[in-house]
Amino acid sequence: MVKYILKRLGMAVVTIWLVATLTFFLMNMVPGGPFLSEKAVSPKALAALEEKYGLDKPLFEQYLTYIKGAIHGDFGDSLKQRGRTVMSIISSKFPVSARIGGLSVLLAFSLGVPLGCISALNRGKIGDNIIIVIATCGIAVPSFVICTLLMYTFGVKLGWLPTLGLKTWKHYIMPVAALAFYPTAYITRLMRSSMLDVLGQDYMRTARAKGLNQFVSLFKHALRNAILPIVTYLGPLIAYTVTGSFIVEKIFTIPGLGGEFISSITNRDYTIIMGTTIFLATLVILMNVVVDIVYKLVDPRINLK
Amino acid sequence: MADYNEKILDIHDLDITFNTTAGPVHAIRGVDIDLMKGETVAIVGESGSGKSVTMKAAMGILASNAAVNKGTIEFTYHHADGTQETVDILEKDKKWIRRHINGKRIAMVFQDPMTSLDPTMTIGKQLIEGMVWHFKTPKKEAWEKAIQLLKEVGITDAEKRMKNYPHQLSGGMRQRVVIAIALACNPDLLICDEPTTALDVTIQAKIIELIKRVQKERGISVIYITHDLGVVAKVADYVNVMYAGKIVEKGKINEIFYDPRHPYTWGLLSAMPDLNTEDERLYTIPGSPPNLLREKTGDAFAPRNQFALEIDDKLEPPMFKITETHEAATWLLDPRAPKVEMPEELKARIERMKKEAEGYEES
Amino acid sequence: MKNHENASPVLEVQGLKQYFRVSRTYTVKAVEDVSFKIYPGETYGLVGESGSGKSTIGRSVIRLYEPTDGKITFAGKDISGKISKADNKTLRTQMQMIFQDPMASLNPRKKVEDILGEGLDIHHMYANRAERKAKIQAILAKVGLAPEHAARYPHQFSGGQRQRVGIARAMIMNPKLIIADECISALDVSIQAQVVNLMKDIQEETGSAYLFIAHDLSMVKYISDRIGVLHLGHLLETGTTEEIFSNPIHPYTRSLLSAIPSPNPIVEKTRISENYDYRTSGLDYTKGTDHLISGSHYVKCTDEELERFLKH
Repeated sequence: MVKYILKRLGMAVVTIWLVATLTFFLMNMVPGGPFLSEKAVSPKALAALEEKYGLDKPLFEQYLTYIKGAIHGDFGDSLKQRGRTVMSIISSKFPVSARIGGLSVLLAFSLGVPLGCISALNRGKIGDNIIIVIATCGIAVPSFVICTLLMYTFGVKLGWLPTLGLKTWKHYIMPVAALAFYPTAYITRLMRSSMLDVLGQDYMRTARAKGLNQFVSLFKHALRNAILPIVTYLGPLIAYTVTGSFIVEKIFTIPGLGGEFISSITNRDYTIIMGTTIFLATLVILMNVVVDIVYKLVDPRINLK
Repeated sequence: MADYNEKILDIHDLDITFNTTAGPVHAIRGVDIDLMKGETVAIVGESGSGKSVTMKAAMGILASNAAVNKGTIEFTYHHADGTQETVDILEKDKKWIRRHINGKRIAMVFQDPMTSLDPTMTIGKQLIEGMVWHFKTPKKEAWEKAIQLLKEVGITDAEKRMKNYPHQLSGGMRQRVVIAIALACNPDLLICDEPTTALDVTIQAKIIELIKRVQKERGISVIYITHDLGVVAKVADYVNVMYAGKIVEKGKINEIFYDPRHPYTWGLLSAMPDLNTEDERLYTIPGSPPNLLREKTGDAFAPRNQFALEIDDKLEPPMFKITETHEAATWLLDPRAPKVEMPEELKARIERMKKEAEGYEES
Repeated sequence: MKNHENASPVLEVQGLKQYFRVSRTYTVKAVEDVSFKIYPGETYGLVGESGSGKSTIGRSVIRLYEPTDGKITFAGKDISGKISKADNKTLRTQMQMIFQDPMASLNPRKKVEDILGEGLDIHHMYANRAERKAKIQAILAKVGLAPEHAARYPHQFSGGQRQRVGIARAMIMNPKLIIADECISALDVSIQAQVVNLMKDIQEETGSAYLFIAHDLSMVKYISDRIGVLHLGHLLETGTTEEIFSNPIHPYTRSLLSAIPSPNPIVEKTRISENYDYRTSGLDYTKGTDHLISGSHYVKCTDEELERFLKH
């Protein structure tokens, strides 16, 4: 097990290095630069800026310098936000996104799993149909529509919830709900089909023949087997959700990482793009390792080698 | 042959229809089976003959689209204080059946041991589950009992195996575990649904021998559902041959095997591979089992029956009594019918079998 | 018995070894040094329990696996290594397979006529539509299905009929060899007999050779001319059907035979099947060599082991 984790972490380092390299060169292949979009800059000033950030050096040298820094946890300074390092920006913005994202994953999981179960147990009945229709909507409707709808109803019409910022717990309700909408719907559907699959299995018949009541056999036998696909989905879901959603953060004016990432791209803020990309990649890879370990705990048939 | 003269299960005139998307399927059409304490009854038939459905009805685990049109399934059991009670399982709700019958008094062994155990739970936990649930046995005591059970079904290293997961055991071992689970609550009746078809031949024989031994030691009644007459010959006291949702011949084991009367039974017996002859060809029953979606007037077996009479297409034959214990549903037994004998090959084979059996004591 | 003194074998497997490397330290030896021949028009029954390597041999023969060692010759050509495109094409028509689960091996969205015609289409085995249709109708009649069955889909058939379609699909290419991997074990007993008889009839007519893979000996008796008993990757006993059934030597073969229940209740009730467990048997398959018993009857064992077997 320990050997397996070490092996996976080793592979993770290679993957992250590949991601970093690829992003670095792709970014530099795109025409334009970080200082071009702003109001006309004199060639002299531009040269000075480029020298300051090392952008005048040959590309490969820049790359080496960057990787060297990255290994020591130094992703450089932001090119646009004067005087701030990439690390300081990530560490100030990530907790905000992580809190909202974490809460919404929690919400999605704790709503989606029971809804999927209820739906599967009442297959073909009204309850099932209602849940399926709502879940399909949840998957189909884009998040900006949901954000706007929530904001309009609870923020403007009813006036129950604040619409901007993150000051009190009330501020969290709408963004968390909006962010959780899609994964809840997805988990519900996934759980339903996997539960239906499990309910048809022979060992469920064995449980019935043993005389266990429905609740016990559901909890002890069905749930554990049915939840396996959800675990797989949860890994990448957590990684993507905690790094923030651009749309939700923009609409509710939340100072999160998602917003930061998008604006860094439009601004050509190379160091931030690099930093956030590597950060996101690391998170996704780590989550996948975690998922594999959790999988092993839930399903004894999995052999981690 | 155990004879306690106490009826434990009495299925009477059972009639079940399944409502499928393709239309109603009349799967069980008036089935009568009874079983005495300590005895073994085999229900023989091809897939779709209704043999599994009948037993699922007795367990109260019919699929939700099944409708019982008529009939009773009376099950007799003893309470802890010795008082006897008879219930009609069809009249009880599922909750009651689960609480009082399933696992506790009627247990089941299924066909495929590869899929009938929960892959994410240890063998031990699956074994003690029933005891803890039905009798509130303390976990530690149940654990000890479970180890005993594993030893009883012939599993070595029982203590170690308790902590194993199903995938760590071979198919034969898993079926032993399934049997141990079925025995956990000391049931009065064990239903074995094709308990060996999914196993390797050498292991099949061992599992059958195991079930026989356990039955003898515990004095329980067993119902075998199978399409394999070889298995039946090895285990059963009574045989019910089912075809298209009806019992077409029933009787004591020797009556069915040495004096079969129904053409379908003739076919089944003839189709069994015979290792003692030089025959080049296997006998076959022509055609395939009927589609129960389209109900047929008269005898359902008539289209595949080379001895069919004209009346077979018009009227369903009743059960004709041959002896006190032997009955068959074929018009050939009607006094007005022309005299038809079983096929020569089968006759010769039965003669040979009788000769071979002469040296054996009837047990 | 068929006489094949002058004929050369359709299929010859010599010293086939098939290993699968699972990890650096663990290799599954699925097939260990197996040799057998199949002559035109005969049926070779390969019998063994799950994990004996019987299906692996079938797959090695149709080139799903590359043999670890050994040689497979089909119609005089070595097919165990790399082969030319043309040879590959001939192989695909002259060697066909019938599978265990007829439902899973037939495309559910294709009509029977297209399932049957597919091979013909790929290998351009007809001049015009009429000939294609005629070939399909002929094969349907041969396997005992009606002409109107051509327009139906697999799910509209019963299990036995589906297996007939599977046989027709293999037969339509007019193959020299058919590999039937457990092709009857999923069927009801009465249907099994139908399919076995059908396969025998077709063989008489076409002269195709069969490699019949099965897990028990009872049905194999009716279809095989010669039998090979396989256990844990080793071919333990080979011979004609008569030799194996009347004089089984190896304890494993004997346990297989004794496991077949006979429909004779008085005998069967008192009979206990023979036990056989390799681990406690004291035998060592890896040390065994082929010993001739009589005729074409061979047993793989050591000299001492053979002495022990013959004492029984």
